[in-house]
Amino acid sequence: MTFTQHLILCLSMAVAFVAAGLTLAHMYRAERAMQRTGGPGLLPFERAESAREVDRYLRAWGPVGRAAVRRSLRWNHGFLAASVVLFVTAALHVAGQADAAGYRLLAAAEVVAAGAAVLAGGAGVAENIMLRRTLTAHDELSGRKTTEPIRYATTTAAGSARITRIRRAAAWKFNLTGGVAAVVLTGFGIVELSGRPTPAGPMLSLFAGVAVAAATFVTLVLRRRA
Amino acid sequence: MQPRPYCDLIMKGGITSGVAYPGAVLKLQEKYDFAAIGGASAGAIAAGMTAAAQYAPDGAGFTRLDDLRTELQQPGLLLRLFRATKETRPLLALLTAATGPARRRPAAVARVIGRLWLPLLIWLSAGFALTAMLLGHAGATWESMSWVSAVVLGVLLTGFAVVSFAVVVALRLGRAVTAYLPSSFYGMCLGVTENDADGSGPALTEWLHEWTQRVAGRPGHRPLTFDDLAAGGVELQLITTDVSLGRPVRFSRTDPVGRGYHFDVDEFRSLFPPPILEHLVRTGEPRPGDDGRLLYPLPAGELPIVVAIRMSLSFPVLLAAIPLWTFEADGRPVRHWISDGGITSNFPIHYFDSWVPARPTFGLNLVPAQERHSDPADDVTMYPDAPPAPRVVPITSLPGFLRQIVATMQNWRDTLQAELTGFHDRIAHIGLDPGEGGLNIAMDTDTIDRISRKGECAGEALRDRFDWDRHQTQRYEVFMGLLQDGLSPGTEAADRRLRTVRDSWESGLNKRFAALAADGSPWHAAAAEATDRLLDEADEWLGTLDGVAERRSFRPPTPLMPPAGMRITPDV
Repeated sequence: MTFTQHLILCLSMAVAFVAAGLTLAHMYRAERAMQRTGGPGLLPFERAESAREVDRYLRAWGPVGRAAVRRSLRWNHGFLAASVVLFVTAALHVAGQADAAGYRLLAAAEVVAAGAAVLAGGAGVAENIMLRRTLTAHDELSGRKTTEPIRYATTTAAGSARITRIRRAAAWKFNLTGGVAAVVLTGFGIVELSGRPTPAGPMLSLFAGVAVAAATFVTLVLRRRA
Repeated sequence: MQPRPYCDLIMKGGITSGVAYPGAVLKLQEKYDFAAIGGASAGAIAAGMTAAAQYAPDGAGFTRLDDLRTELQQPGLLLRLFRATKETRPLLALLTAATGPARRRPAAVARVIGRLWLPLLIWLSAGFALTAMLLGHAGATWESMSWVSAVVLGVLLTGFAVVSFAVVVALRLGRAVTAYLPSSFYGMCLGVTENDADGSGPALTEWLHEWTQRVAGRPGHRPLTFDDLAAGGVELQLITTDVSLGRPVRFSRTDPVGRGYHFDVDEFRSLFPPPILEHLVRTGEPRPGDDGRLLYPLPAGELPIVVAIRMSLSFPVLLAAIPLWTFEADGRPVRHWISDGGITSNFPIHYFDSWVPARPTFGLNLVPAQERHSDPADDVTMYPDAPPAPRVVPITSLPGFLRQIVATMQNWRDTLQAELTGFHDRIAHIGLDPGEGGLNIAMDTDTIDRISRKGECAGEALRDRFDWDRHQTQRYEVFMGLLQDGLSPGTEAADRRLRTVRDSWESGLNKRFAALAADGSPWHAAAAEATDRLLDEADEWLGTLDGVAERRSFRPPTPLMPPAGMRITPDV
């Protein structure tokens, strides 16, 4: 890989880091709003095991919390896009390095990891869409409950099949993302000891991106608290 | 045929120690019928089941209570009943491991590690990437690396893995405590099944409902209520704690009086099975709350006893607290958190007490065993002659010190009450060894069986060793002695405390009453007349005894120890 290729990939990663930090901060703010209502954050909603469990979360959030969930899901699309860009560029960077070092198998694994990152993003988008449908279904039920409160004692906003699909999508998203992260980081470590470490300039630009992302995140979170 | 005598029964809270109670109740009922039953926390479950058995119109309630005793000995039942929400499962797993047998701890730790393999792998990869980057920029390569360097790298990564594991576990537990517990009503277990697909059977509250109905011989869709019990001649009183108000609350046929508690039908859906909810909704008209909530009034007499049991049994953090609502003067709804009755009174032995009781009120107390005995009967003690000697708890560490502070705050009032003359002779103390009862929800069948047999021994002890004639005499002596202290503690006219009542009455109270009577209040007219008559007669009666110590003393031959006094206290 040439220095310019290194730089382009590292800068792309830096930009993706900043975008991820920005979206994550907004998701964190929404998360705080959800928890202030007495409900949980988004994660238990994504990994719920039953329709009754989902109903408990939706009721605990109330209208305010559910609005925060919608905000979080909107920002989550941005976060998914940023993380896919980040992982794909990182995997391609490591693949290029591995190829240059003669580690063919590692290079192939990194290309697969890049594909898996895209799949994880797709699973995340599908999951978000299903979560939004669940929210909508609950709001329709809530609108009717004033006249027929008890009829819905055992009726749930989300059917069991949808809950299963959401949980599976979330499991694919988290497991693929975790696996991709492990493969990319381990691959990076291997190629860094191949005698051709990533040049210092692009690495510094990457670290600068991480620092800006962290600063963005902290600034947004603190501003919210103030 | 002579009618069977009646008794009352109070049972202490103790989470899983409550498995002792069915055996005790079954032994007691061989001699007595139960008129009034009370309890806190796990004692509330036993009290509710005893009331249901006594109520059973077909007379087979105690046979079915015996079935319940057998059911409790099923392996793994308690673990199935105390079922954590998905997000707090690791917390419950750690709690179970910490309180369970030591041999199960490695497996529990392995399960926790097994759940965290992915974040651990990521952290480990990150550590490797960082180390390799630093080494690579320092000129190191795979070819140049000696075996010593490889070992150093391995040690570094292992250390990193250990630190990562600690961080991951701390983050997960922190999130479970700060974010997930509040969303499950501050408890790991809701008490209802959220996932029917897991095939574990009913959770605690559903199981309680099923067994209450079964023991009472009623169909599941007509929950047993306080009114039903009253119609069957049974009184039930359960204590719980309104932590938002910072005070105990009693649930009975007529309580809680005047609190105006409401419940949110949506919140109760997560905590009670549908038949209970459907019954509750039928008993009152909803009031709109904020955020579109529907707040229904919580009935007193028509309250299913399972709801009161569950409110009394909300062991903090283990079982979800129950949210109730009241309305402020301006109509604004305010949420109250109802938690375990044991927080304010874990052994409400003061329930059903009267000046001179007409029947015994037995108490079943749970205490740490002083030493390990092979025979369960040796772990049961009664103190018919004198209260038990106060037990000094050795404190050797800060956690022990803090634990004892909490225990003192929680129990001092009940402990002192139980030591009083007229109380200590009607309480059986069940000694529990470490690993028995309490938070040990993973007890094996042998342990549960042993606790159950201790309960039977306690029931037998109360049934066979309690002396009613002696108890009644003592209660008379105590009451009259304290009444005398209240009226006139000394032997001379100057000692009469009644004088202060007369002084207050004659210094203006009587005029105020007369004025109110003149304004048309017949109650005040009658009260003034009754007061004058009472004071005159009491004075006359005390006057005949002045200076004659031996004729005036109602006190028992020996002073009360521990000392007791009569005063106005909250009736709760």
